[in-house]
Amino acid sequence: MELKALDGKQSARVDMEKVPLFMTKSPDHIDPDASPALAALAAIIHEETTPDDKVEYYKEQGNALYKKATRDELKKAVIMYSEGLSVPDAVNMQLRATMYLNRAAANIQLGNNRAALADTTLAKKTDPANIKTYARAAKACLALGQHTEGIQWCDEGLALDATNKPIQEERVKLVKAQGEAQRKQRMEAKRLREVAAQETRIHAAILNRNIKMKAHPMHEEEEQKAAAEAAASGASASDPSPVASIANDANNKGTAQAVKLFRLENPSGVKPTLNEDGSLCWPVFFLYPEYEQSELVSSFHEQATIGEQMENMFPDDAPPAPWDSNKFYTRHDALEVFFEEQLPANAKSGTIPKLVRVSKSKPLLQVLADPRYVVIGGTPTFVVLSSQSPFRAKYLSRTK
Amino acid sequence: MANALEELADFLKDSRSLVRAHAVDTVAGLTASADGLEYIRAYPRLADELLARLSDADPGIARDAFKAVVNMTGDRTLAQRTIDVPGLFAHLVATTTEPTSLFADLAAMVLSNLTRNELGCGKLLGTNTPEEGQALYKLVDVFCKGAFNHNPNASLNFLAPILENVSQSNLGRRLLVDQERAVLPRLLTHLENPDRVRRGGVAGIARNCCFETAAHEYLLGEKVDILSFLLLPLCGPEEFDDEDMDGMPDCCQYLDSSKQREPEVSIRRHLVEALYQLCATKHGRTVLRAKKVYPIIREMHKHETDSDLDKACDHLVQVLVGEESGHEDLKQVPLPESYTSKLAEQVRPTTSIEDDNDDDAIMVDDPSLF
Repeated sequence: MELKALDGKQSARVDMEKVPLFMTKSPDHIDPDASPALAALAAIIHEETTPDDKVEYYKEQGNALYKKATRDELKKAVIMYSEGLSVPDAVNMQLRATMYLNRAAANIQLGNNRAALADTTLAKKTDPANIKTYARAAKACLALGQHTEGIQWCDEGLALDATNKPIQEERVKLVKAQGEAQRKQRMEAKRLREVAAQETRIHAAILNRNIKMKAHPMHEEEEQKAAAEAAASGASASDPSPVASIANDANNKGTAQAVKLFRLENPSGVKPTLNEDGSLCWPVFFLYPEYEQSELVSSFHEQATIGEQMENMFPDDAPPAPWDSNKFYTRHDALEVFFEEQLPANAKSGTIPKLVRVSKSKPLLQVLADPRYVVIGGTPTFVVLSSQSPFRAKYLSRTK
Repeated sequence: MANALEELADFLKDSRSLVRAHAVDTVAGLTASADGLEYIRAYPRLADELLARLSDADPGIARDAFKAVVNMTGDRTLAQRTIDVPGLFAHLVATTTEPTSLFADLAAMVLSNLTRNELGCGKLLGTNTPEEGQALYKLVDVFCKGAFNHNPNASLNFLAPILENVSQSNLGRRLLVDQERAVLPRLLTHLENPDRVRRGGVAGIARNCCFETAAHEYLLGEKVDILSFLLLPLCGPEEFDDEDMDGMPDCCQYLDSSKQREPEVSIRRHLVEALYQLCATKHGRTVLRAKKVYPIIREMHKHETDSDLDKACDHLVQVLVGEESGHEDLKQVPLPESYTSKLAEQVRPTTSIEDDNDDDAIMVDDPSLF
């Protein structure tokens, strides 16, 4: 058997048979004439070493390393204790429990709290009377955030010795941490409730305005998957990504079911917001197919007109946009805005949707309420073409 | 009649278990009625033999004997006599705390009845001496281990009334508030326990311990943090605004609509009384104000249906909201003459706490309940 002796510099495996303390057979390579004392010592000792003595040796090695307290040393300490625990035929159970506890202590220092907790459980089984187990387990539980379990460990320990200060201290820490953690949870739950309530209000506002909504294709897939799973598990599923509006929901009075039918956001996370006075602001995409550019206006008030927005985005005295190499999009009054008409459900794939011209003097709300318009992923999209550019005619003829 | 009762006493110690069983059953019947108790009072031998049956080899007989003793000790005179029986207290404590015992709950009920008076308390505290309080701490430890099932056959809920009774005596309180042992922190968590008896007992303990003004700093400090435990049951689903919540104990913040107030009136009363007692010292008043006890009581007051409790809330609010009178300890304020003379007329027991034992002694009416 080899005994590992680890010094600070290297982990050399030392052949145990050469270590006088641990020789198992009489060393014949020691010349009794050359070193009689060593020979005598070896002869005496190898007959008297018990397994528990070996465990003791590993314990002392481990403790010395633990005291040095660096990460490296602590890891080595853990190895030492593990070696001690794997010595066969050891019978001293109290010593064994101590080994578990010492290893747990080293692991706690290293941040391996789960391993430490496992060791304290083993220590408790091995020697339930060892009072150190309980505070140590409690420490690990505190680090893991397992407060209820930690408090139980403390109460068990206090039942053995109610005056034990370390256990009392850990208990106080655990109770405090538990209170804080639960408070945080409740606070977060309240925040989520408020977010959900606000979403419900936004949904209601949208439905009230007779605006048609559809989930973004990416979310649509997710929803179809979820609906399929729900159907498989027997729960009733709503149609995958139907278009929601009050006209369609003739059977549903409330918004509760309608809420399930569309998600408000697009994959980038932007969504419409509800103002205090009940008006909505929308994130709006403007597409410039001529240059394959797009622009997101994060908050377009529903009462503002498209014309006003165009003026904002393309002011008279501003330089042309960096992508506008031909300078067709410099005058806002030359810009025409369109939306894509919703394709019927039975349309062949690849069908190009027809473009409907939008009156720039209408407020956004009215445009969105157009029965031909569907808001996808909570973000209305408009196509912008310039009357000054030949591209316009080409683009519009695609769908004729 | 005398002969019949003598015979009954003899049957109780008969070598045949069938005979003993029948006898115990008969005595149990006697304990369930006022007349029956008269007979038992008149013939002490019956009680003696019955008590001996508590350790009967036949578990069915022992169980019936326990139930009968529970009823019997509900009677003051008989309880008093029972206390003096040598070795009985030790046996009851052992039965209550033994993890495999089938009669732990019943033994706890007997002890609960016996500790309703001072002698019983004293006996319990003196049991397992030389160090006073050993039996008490054993009961506390076992009671607090309830979470991980010290005894799968017993709920041990009736340990709570025992501890409550003990907290009515000065010595008992002193032992429970001992700062060297974390007794109170372990007990107070049971104020949220689903069992009414457990909660009730602990509420009584908390209330009684709050009479110890010298311990207020310890009770209100972080080691015990008694306020959190007293306030949580009094909180309901109402939301507080940020200003009210600032300073409130963590456990009372952001409670949602599912939170229910403590449904038992007597428990709510004990909690409010405990808070009131904590106001006796300036330190207590300062802490209670800082921890926003007032908003919690204010909300509770709005929903309180019991008229006595209504008044108690009023008193508490007065102290919390009112001006400081300059007195540090309100208990040291000298009483006006008119009161001191009236008080002198009343005979008070030696404890400084009103004997608030409205609860009836525990009786087992229906043996089939167990």
